[in-house]
Amino acid sequence: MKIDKAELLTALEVVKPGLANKEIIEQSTSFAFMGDRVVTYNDEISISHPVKGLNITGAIRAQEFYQLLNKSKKAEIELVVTDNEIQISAGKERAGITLAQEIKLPLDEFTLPDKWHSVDPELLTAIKFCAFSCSKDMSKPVLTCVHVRKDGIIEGCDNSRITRYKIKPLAVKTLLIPVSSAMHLTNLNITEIAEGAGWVHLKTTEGTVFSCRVFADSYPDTNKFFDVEGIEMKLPKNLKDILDKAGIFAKRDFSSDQLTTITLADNKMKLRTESDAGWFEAEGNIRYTHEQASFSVNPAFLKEICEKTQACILGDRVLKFEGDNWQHIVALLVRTR
Amino acid sequence: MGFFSASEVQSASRPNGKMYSCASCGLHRLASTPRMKPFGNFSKGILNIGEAPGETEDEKGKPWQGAAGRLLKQMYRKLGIDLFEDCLNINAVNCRPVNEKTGIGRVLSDKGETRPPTPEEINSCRSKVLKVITEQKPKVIVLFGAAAVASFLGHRWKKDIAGISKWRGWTIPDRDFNAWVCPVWHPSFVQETDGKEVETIWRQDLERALGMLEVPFPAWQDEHQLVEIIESPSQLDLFPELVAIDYETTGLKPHAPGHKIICASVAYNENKVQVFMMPEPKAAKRFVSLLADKQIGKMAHNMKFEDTWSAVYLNQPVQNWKWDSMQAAHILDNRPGVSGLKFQAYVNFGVIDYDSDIESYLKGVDSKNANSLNRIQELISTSNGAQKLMEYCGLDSLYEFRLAMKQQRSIYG
Repeated sequence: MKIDKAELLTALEVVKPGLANKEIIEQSTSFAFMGDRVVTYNDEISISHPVKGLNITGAIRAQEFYQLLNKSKKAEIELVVTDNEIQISAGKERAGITLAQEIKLPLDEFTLPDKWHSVDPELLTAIKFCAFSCSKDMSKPVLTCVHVRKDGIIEGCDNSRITRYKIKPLAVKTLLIPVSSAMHLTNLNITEIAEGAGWVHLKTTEGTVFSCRVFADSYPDTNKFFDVEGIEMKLPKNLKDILDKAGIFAKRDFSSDQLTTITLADNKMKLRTESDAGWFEAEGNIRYTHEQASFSVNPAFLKEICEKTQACILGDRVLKFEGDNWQHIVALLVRTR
Repeated sequence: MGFFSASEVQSASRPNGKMYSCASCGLHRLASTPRMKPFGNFSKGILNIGEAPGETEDEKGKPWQGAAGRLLKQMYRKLGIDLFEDCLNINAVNCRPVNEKTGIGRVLSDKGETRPPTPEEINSCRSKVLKVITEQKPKVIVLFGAAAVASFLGHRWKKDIAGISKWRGWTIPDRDFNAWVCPVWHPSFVQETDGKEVETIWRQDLERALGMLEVPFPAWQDEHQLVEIIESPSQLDLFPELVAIDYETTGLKPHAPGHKIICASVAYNENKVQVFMMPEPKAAKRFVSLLADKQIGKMAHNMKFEDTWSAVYLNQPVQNWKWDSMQAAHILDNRPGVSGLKFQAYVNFGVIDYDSDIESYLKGVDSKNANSLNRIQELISTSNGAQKLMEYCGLDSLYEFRLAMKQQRSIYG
């Protein structure tokens, strides 16, 4: 069968996140062909994508097949399936890659549901926006997820900061999607969503079906932290650069220990960071005429949110930032006056 | 210390963040009956959780089909229960565990090579076990053997879970599942052990478990709401005739320089507790007067600890000790590892893991030095550390009070 190489390569690119790094599960490092679809499965994610003109059943080692196709300069390739091989012809070049005719991927781990619901296109923006706040610390498993709430609030938290983004309510129940899976979604044009037992499934306009496992747990209640009263202020515009330098001396093993101390008084903001290697200090102007306040915060976290806005509220225990459809709070340590 | 405690961000479906699934376990590929379904009509709301299917179960596709199952069936019949009519039956691991190296399960079974499930296999199947519990809402859950205990508790009990011997015989009002949880020996252990004693104890444990069918599940309110944090000991209420006290301190022993009591709590009854950060001893007069008052009975869990700290740090020996719930726990049940307050709070009041995010701060920095400081000062320097510590301290004395009352009812009738 003759196949448009670009289309096949695109399909392989789309399903690649579903490949495993190591073959802990049989064929999880292979592309599986199921009729006109290419499928991958790594026990966290399964992705399938259609390819026009394709009609093969079997599994093929992903790395060699992808590399071969990627290096080919021809626009069209021909695929011929023999008993145990898939032969690829492109111009005067030919190659054969072993094809396992039986697909052994445990695709029975989930069943694609019949009922699909349309989804706010902002969902992916929201996931991307909140993902940076999600934890990478596996000792806090629930916080390694993006919390996709039925009421349309999407949130991420690593226990030191929480980010929220509001979209239209969802037609499926509240979900906890591992951020490592959710990040693969952000390149897709998701239009539909469906829920399964322990899985969520998403469809794109191009016919991709992205399935990923979800956590069967409850996310802790974040509402209580967003009701912040305090001093409204605007952080200096050059704070991002200052924080960048402060971060050099804030490096520690755990992010909770990476701190810079900020002192506000008399329209000045002073910042100091120390490490065994040395220290960094900086001063900036800020409209602040209240009593002196001092707090410690992770400089990297503060820098990330300063990319979006400098306006914030200084509460007793948190700094709160807010945009049109998002909110972000950063925990402060030992705030003193 | 951040917005949430360690226990609030744990995952039952992915303990320690690791993903366990049928695919990662792989036993289903070797079983004649992969992913064995729950079996039984469940008419009395009893859920039995066994270890794993054996050879006969795997072949017949139902749990409790072998010799151990027959023994359980007989014992249940003697106690007026039909194993398959009145109960729902599942296993901690739903596929028969066999050695993968030799081949498929059926071949191995002829050689008698069925093996106990591994912790990974138990973890992989836990979500299925918990799903059955959540969906079926049993009144009584009987855990047969260590694998069932590990399946049910392993993701929630962060301390030493130990073997079935520590757990058997308790009737636990588990609040997470609103069910009485009753660990007992596995019938195969009873079968393999000589002597009538084991069978008698097993029967008694099962009788006790089945007796819980008639006991309504207790309705508790969230105890965190009962903990009143006060600014100083001068705000302590009028003391009743009997109180429970608890301290959080910088270490185990008060004698070395730098040690102090960080906070203290006073439980007035089973539903009221006040807690405060301990000021300098001179400013703690109202609390010291409580310790000195011979008319007011004092209770604690391991009273030797509070007694020593009161005498050394507050310079006031405690008058009129009435009850030590740790000693009483040991008198009531002298098995090792059961007299700690956290274990007692779970088996008696169904509260699991209220201390996991505090615990690490309370351990001495130098484990070989009994006078070593712990990290409690570090805890209270964080934004909500002091509050968490006080809540924890308050819960300790509240549970001490409740435990003491329950023990007294048990001992004196």
